[in-house]
Amino acid sequence: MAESFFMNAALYIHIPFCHRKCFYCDFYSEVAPEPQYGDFVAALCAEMKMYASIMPWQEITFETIYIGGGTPSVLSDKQIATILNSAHTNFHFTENLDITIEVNPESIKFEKLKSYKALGINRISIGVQSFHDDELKLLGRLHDATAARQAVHEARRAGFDDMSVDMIFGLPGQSLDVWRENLMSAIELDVQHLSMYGLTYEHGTKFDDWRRTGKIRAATDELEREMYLLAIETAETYGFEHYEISNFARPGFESRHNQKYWDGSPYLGLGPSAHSYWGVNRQWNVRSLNRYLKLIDQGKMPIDGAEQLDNSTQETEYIMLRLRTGRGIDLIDYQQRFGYEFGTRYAAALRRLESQLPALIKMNANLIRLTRDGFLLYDDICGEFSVSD
Amino acid sequence: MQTEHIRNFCIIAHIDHGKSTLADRILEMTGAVNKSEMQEQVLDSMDLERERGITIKSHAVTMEYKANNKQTYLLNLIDTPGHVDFTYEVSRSLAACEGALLVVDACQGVEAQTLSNLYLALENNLTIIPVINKIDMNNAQPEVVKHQLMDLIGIDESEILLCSARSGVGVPDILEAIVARVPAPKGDTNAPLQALIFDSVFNNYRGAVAYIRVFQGELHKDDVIKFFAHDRRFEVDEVGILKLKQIPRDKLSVGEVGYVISGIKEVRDTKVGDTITTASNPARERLPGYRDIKPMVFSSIFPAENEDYEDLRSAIEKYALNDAALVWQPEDSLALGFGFRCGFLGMLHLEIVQERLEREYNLNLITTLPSVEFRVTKTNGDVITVDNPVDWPQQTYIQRIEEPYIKASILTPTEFIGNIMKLAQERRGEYINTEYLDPTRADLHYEFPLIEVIYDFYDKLKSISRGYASLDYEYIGSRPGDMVKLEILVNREQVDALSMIVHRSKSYDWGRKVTAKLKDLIPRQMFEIALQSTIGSKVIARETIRPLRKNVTAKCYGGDITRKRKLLEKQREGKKRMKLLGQVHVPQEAFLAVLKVD
Repeated sequence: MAESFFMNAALYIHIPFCHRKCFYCDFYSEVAPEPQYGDFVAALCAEMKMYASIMPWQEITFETIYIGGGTPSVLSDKQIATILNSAHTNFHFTENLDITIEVNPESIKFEKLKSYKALGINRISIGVQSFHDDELKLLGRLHDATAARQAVHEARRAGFDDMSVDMIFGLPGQSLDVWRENLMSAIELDVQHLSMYGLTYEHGTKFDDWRRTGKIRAATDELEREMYLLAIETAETYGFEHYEISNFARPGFESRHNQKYWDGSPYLGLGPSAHSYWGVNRQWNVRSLNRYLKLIDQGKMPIDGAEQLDNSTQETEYIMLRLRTGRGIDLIDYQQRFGYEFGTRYAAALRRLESQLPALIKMNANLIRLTRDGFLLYDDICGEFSVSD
Repeated sequence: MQTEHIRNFCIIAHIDHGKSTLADRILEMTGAVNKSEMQEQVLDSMDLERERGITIKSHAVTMEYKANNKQTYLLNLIDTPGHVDFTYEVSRSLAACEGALLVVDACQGVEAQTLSNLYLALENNLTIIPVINKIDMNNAQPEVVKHQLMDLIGIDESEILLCSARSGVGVPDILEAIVARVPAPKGDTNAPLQALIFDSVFNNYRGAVAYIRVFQGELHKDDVIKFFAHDRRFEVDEVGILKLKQIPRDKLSVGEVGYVISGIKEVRDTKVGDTITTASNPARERLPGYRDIKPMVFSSIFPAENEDYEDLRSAIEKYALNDAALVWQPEDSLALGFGFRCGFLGMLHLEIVQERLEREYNLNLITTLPSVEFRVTKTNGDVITVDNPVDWPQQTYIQRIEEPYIKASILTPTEFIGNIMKLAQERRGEYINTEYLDPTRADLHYEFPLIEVIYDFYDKLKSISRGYASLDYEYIGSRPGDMVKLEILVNREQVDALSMIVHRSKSYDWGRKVTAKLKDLIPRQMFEIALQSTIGSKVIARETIRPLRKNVTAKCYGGDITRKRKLLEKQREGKKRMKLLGQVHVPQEAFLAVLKVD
């Protein structure tokens, strides 16, 4: 899709360090000694330099930076400053650049937040997950509920007015009431953005092992469904807009960075395990800090693999990503991109879905989008829109 | 070779009593194969036969044996298939012989098949040489088995031979007994040719190869031959005898066993039991015992993937070249697409055909619940035969139904009689009588509707008797039966491939079990799925598959997109492999479910 070259891009920077691995998380990170942080930051700056002279990144304009992980807040503010300076040296950015950093409550202090603010970081995403200490312990988090509330207050005091809080529901043993309490606690923090995820048991995590061996038991579909519906209703009641399956924002506070993943904008991912995408290309970095450091040291790009998306794969991804959003698929945009009339191309699937399931899908001449019940069956519905249909 | 130096014999035994091992030893000792050529159980040449330890196709081999009297004899060993589905083939192989080794396992003793084969051999006037095998096993009871045999055949103890086919002990005595006891073939070299086809196999390059035994006259290369089963004539390309390979000869004469190749394309034209004669000087009569074999068990075979239909067609065509017993015709199912309705001799035959098609032609197949052939008299007086539930008339048009019956002999240690009688009752068996072979072993005689035994009866029998009971049966005709057609509806749409013809007394139970099984096998979907069993318009069982309420990937960001897309593609592939019935995706296992209902 050539037009994506003209869209503003997103820059993702992966910080592969944590003080401890959470038991449910499968994002790439290491529990490493602090001296390694410095080596990594140096390598990261070198990686940025490599891309500074490569198309399309050489010419593209970035609109957002997202520092994620891992736990970016384990780095010192100096190290964060080095990274952002390097980004500014090597890439072009828009005037109204959005910079988000993920933080964990236990590794964030007022001074650090102040310096983030000074570096131009304007958005904070805080990994809270729960306000019940027993649940936080079960998840393997290092903070407690008090620290979570404290972090939000400190960030506000440091001048942040765009904050997001991550919450997880469907924890083993969690009741609907406990989730309601968590949900209300999150709302009471009066932040601008909420990400609320149903727990998934990712392959290779402790949680997945524990579930297999019966040490913990997954929530039933029925309960998770109720929790999800409660989250949507509550968030909407308090003025949040449900703009993506798991994301809620006060008007104007949607995550610009994450929206770029869903609308097909190009993004450059730096650091171990980060993915990049532009046009019909996708590539991903090695998922190992050591290999990453070694390759950079040898002057090589730390790329692990790449793929080119053919037409039907692009189409699959387009549908898969747009259906995640509250706006859904803009049918005119679809037709311009792929040259088909959506209703004709997916006539069989639509007949199947429409006749039996008007409750899952809303469709008119201009758009098709999922309802709440539709979001709950997102995976199945995506599966229906198969080109060979 | 003069006929007085020919001995034609076969070996009859229950499965696993050591027939093949004994054949191997005999081949070895007569030098027909040397040790290095010796692949265990040479006569069972198909993989499937070796795996199942049974002989499916029979073969023959000619051996030269120098007897203790210093004279050389030609011994023709004619192997016989070892399963109840192939009784007719067995009887034709026996008809080609003058004598039979009756092999009985020293540990197991006489079993149902031993008896049925023995009776077949006696019907064909064969000289019986009883052999007790496996005498070197720890739990061998040769004395007990000797008495069983003496009671059974009314022979003297001195006539019973003991051996261990595995080690070869006792086998030389068997060879001597064959020469001494089995009569030489009789017949007139100058009479018109009468040669019995006891088997035929298909060869890719030569077409149908008939295995024959000459009873009268001579068969020469270049003779023009004719058959009794059809009118076509063929010129003989080659005749010969069977060693491990085919050895061409100028002719086959009275008493000899060998093969004939004559440009015949299909084994259907060299029917087992038919008689070959010459066109120039034809025999007036066919040799006795010919029967047109008829399929008894019917099932439909579909490719699991619709696009494999042409492959299946070509596989069945090729396979059928070598299996005259398989009957097949195209069928079109709403649920499963294009496939074939097939007729088989029995369940083993069905399983063999399915396995060979899957294995040798690399196909993935779905077979439907096996059925039998019913005779249905309609209210307007028409009589039709129905072997496929799809063709079953509406109940209101049915005046009378007849179903095929068999006579079964179940040989069992007496301690299992109670279990077996219970099973027989569940299967609508009619008890005839019990014969005691000795105080510990009984032969139960029953008459059963065939449909009750074709499906999992044998496995059940084995499991309730700890493997000891054995079964043999033969077809005895049709009797009135109160059958109904049970239909399965998925979301109110009838699934033709799941319907079945069952006895009314069992229909409720079946209906309940099938819907329950389907509920386990069909995954939850985005909407509720109703499963119903019906007879006519009456619903007799119902299950509901609750709709899926939650199936959502919560997180999807930059790094995840590739992975999530791949999961989605995998899920789509999975759905593609399912059959779409109306709006419901049904996995293939569901169609096999009816076969697994307990």
